[in-house]
Amino acid sequence: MNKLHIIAGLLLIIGLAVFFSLSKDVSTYSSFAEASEHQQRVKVAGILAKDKEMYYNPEENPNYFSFYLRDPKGQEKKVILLQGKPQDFDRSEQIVVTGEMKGEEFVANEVLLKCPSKYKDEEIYMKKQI
Amino acid sequence: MSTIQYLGEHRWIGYCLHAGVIIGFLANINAIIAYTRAVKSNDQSWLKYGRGAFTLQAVTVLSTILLLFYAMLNHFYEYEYVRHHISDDLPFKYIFAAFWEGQEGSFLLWMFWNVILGAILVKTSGKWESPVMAVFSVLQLILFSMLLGLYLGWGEYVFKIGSSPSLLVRETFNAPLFQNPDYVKLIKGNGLNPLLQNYWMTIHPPTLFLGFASTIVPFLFAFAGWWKKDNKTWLKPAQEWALFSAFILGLGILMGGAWAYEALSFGGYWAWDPVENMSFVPWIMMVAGLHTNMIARSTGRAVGTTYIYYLLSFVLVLYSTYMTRSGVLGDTSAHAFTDMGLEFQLILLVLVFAAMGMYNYFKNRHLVTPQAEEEKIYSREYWMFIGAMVLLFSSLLITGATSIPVFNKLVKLFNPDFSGQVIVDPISHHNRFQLWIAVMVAFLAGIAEFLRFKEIHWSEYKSRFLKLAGVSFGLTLALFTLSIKVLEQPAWQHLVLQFAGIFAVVSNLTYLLTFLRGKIKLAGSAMAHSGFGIMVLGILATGLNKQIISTNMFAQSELIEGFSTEEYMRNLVLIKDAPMPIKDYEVTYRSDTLLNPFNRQFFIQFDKKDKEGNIIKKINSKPTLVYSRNENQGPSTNPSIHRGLTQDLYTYVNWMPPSMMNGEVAQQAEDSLKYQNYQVAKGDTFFYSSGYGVLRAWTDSSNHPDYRPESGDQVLSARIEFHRLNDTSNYTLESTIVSRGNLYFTFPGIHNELGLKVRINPASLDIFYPNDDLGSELELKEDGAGQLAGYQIHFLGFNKNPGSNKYAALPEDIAVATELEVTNPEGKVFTLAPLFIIRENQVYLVHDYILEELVRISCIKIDPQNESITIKLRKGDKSSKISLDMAERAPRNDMIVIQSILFPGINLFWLGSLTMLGGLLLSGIRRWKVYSGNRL
Repeated sequence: MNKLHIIAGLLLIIGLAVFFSLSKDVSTYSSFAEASEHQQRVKVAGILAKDKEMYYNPEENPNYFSFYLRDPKGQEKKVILLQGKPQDFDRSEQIVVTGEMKGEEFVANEVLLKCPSKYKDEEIYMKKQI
Repeated sequence: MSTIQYLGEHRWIGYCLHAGVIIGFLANINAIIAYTRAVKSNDQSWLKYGRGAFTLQAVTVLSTILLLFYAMLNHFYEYEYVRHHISDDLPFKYIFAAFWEGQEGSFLLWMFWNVILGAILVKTSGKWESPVMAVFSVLQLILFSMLLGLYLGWGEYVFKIGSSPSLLVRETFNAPLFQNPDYVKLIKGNGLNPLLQNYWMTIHPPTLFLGFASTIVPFLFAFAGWWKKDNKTWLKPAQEWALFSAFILGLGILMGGAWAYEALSFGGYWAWDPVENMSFVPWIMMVAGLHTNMIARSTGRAVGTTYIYYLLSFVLVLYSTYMTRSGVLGDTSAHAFTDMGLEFQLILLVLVFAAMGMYNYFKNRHLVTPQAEEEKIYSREYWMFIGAMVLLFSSLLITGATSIPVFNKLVKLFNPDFSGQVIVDPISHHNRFQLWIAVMVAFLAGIAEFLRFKEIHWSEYKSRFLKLAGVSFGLTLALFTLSIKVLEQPAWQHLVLQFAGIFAVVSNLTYLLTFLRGKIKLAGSAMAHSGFGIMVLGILATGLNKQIISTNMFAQSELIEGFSTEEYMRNLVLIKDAPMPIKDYEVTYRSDTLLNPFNRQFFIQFDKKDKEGNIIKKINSKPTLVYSRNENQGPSTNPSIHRGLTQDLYTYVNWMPPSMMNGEVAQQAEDSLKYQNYQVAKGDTFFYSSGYGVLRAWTDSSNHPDYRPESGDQVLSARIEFHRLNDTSNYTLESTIVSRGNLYFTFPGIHNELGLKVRINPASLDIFYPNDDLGSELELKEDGAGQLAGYQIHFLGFNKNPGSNKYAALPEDIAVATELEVTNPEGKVFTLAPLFIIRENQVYLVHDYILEELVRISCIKIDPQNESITIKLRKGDKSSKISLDMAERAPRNDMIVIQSILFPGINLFWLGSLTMLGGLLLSGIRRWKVYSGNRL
């Protein structure tokens, strides 16, 4: 048999192994309930609860920022972000936090904001031609 | 349908733009047909026709670009593209950046490079011109379709093809503004995103886009070769172009990394962001194709593989375009644009070329010569081939992981409830696999150099090979042992990579010295491979050894279990002029200043101290804030990098007081303060919750740090002394209000420790206009004296050159100061100089004051015949009060939060990657030089 084919075969097997270990790294966006249940590092996508308290007091602790997030299932939990308050936080349309559920609170160390416009172009609306 | 006649629109630009795009589109169709005919029939006239069509479409590309530039330079805001990206205050140097900020502009940039590349191909590809240009024109055709802006409608449905840069604003948005025929004057340009207003935005996109554009060329030659049933001669031009493409694209990607490092605050040059990944993967495949190309030219094998790799490289560029421009990456990338309705066309672009490429490949499969002989394991080509497969593997891994959002979208089409997969920690995920890819590549790039093509005379050569490999291995081991003293790695996998990196460098240098006998001009691959090795070491140094120094482990009041390591405490609070010791440094926030309305610069001092506490180094760090033109948007933060030979100090401001954030936040913070009003005369005391304040003095000049005097200002400044209960010290602050023109400017006095903010109410300025009118006037001749209301006034003389800072002189003014010596009833003498000004036949007066006595003296008339002046005196109530507003518990405005990181060995990364690109360039130049006479 062709030596090259052996190598290719080996790589394929390695590839499959990698693929399966990959699946450990992949998960769906979780809800707070799922995060509580699984007790592992997850990503939660949600909307900022603008009516609830947002707390950041750098003089006290510059690495503690708390706010309330509503997950897609409608559950609202307090999120503690171990970073400063991101710019334009209040204007965010969607927030994705990465972290773990600790008791009743979600402790996150990463956040991604989806803002109405920063790098993104605005959507184009077409005027209806009569 | 409205029949408003609009004024001031330059419609001809839009019409020409649109016409140009349509002509270019049609010209490309002609080019495709003509060149295809030329391939089939070898007829010169078809060739000429094709060239003509290519030239025509090239002209339309250039004219479209020039027209759009013209509209931008002249601020024709009626065009949506101009309105979106240009503003009146945009500095000229950013006009290019603004041009390609948007989708249409960046498509034009790509098409521009295609024109240049196409022209070179026409001139230099010889017998390959027809097939190459036929396929090239397909790309250009589809790109033109992205700009068509055609709307096709069936009843209710409107189907859009392309997005035209010739759209007017009123064709894009529906707003009441457009009922006004004169609306053009009212449109304000939106301008370039402030974060993109830097030199990187001017050089990175064109370089990167040239890189993207050039990835088609090796594929074009492969396709052409297959088309003309030739599996050999196309390999030569393909290799030359692959070297060029790998160099330029690599350079473009590296620029992106450098930009991210310099200007963005995620603290690095690579984040495995989807857009970054998808520009990197085509480069990997280009390098893979380049290597199999070399195998093919030396041994005749791997020709088909070369075709496939070049096809992949180009198709991945198209796929990357789809991902970036279609909005599918919305949740996962900081770069992505939202949907512009081009999604269908972008997918089509990918599919067309994938289909064409694969169809051609399989149709002419017989060209791939079956491997008759056994593989020669000890041959260079064997291991190069494996190396190229490793690169392919790497690309598949990266592409797969990055394409999860596309996968999600596809599944959602069938199952709307699907919530979507996501990689929780992309960075550690990619690093985990790419580490081993890098290990393999580094080893192979070393070992393969010592082997020779076709395993010629292996039995005799074997001992030499073992010697070289052994020497390299030994040297590597020695250096490796040294290196672990300098670079600490957290895990054994990193040690393996470190070893591999060193091996790549050592073996290639050995190769350079032994085989090449030090001939640098042949050293392209040695340079590229050692560059890779150095780059790997740089990545290990900066990625794993970077030190976050802005942590203050002992000052945290709330530690959350499991999250109390340094990694989670990256922010540090700094209070102005209060030094903060961290690690080997003492950090102090010194000051900040507004460089211009959109840029605030902070001065942060880092003093490096030795064990005894002596300062051995001073670093001035100047991170900046870039404000948006949009009042609602917060500022972006730009880091400051202090570059050293062995490490960089990287600092940025993460949080600043609300008053420095943006108009809206500052206003909100101000609105949330509760002000209490106090009416105080000089010497009065007023009480607040934790103490009392005394108005010590008020004057008409100010020492407030934020106040910059301008002529014509009327200034009122109050100095207040505060005392706290149970505190013997006193605290002073100065609060100022300025009347300038028709506006008031307040410069509140803020005492951060007491948490007090004091504003002077504008009503207080009335103190300069005392009401009590003591009526009488006094006429005086030069050197004369008289009495008014108890005050002795002696007229000293005229001063024809008055220099009052209360008076803003205009060129046509006639102004004169009357110098007076005024003695009060107690005998105290004051010198005053009220001004008398004639401006445009009107009389203006500038009064002068004895502030303590609230006396105002003016010269109200000058009689040239009698050579006399008339003086008027007005006196106010000494107990006149100033109206102060004071807020307690005001937030500090002298406090910022920073993040500071040390990047050791980052120069290894830049050195390594530049060396790698240099190797590509060197090889490219050599190929061009050696074979420049032999065009096929």
